[in-house]
Amino acid sequence: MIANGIGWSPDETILYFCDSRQGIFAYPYDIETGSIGPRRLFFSFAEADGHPDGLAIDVEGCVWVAMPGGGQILRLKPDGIIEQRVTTPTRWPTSVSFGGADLATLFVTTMKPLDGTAEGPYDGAVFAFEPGVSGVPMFRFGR
Amino acid sequence: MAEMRRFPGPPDRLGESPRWNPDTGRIEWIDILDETESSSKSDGSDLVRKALPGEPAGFAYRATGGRVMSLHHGLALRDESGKTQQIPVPNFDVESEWFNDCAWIHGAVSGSAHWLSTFNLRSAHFIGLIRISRPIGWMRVL
Repeated sequence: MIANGIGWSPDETILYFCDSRQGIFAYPYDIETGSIGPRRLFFSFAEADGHPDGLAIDVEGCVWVAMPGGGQILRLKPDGIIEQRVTTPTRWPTSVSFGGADLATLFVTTMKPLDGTAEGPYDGAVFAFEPGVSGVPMFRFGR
Repeated sequence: MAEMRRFPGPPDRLGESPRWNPDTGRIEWIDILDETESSSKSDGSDLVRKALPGEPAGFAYRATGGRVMSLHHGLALRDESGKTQQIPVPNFDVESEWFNDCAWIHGAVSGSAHWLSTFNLRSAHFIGLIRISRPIGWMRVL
């Protein structure tokens, strides 16, 4: 099991937690106390889609998750259903984050293959695109 | 949807943890295997890459400047000059445990604040989150 990306829903009531081996779990989150409730499997994946890794949340409450090995970024609706697939120029996107003006750009980090497969020309590059929706601002430690 | 644009800089071995810095208007990220942090303008120009003192896993910005970094061998505060200060983590075993991605949330109404990092054991089927909630302190929540 590999603990990876985390994020909160825009209303701060759901914590998303990515285990790259099992999928993304959603937990009820109490912002007052920091306590979490019982988890539910929010998103499970097919092996051919790659493994979920870093994630970001948009203002509509959808989860954008990088899928290394699958060469894509998924947009998941709040019910966990895949709403959109964005193909990346490399098989190995690792994480995503909103930024730029109005947080309307999605930045994508990637990696070179670690499984012995041949390296592609864009493996390890950083990418950016406008997904058509803005992201939720990230919080600052100790604010 | 607009076309995906590739940044012109050299590739990372294992790029991770992209973060938008609203103060500088730059995108920042880390390379876990090369142990570096990078930043650039939003179009990928003006790339700056710096070495880090250890294998990074993720980071979150601090309100007072700089960032808190989760490293595979602990946690650290890092200021804008690059000065890094390790944060003592109770009961943390550097040989068997490592941190991964991290994030911080601050309740808009309540003022409650929580920092979370995903957390792994190297050799066991265990996943988890670790939380700092002032003034409660450290708590493993999963």
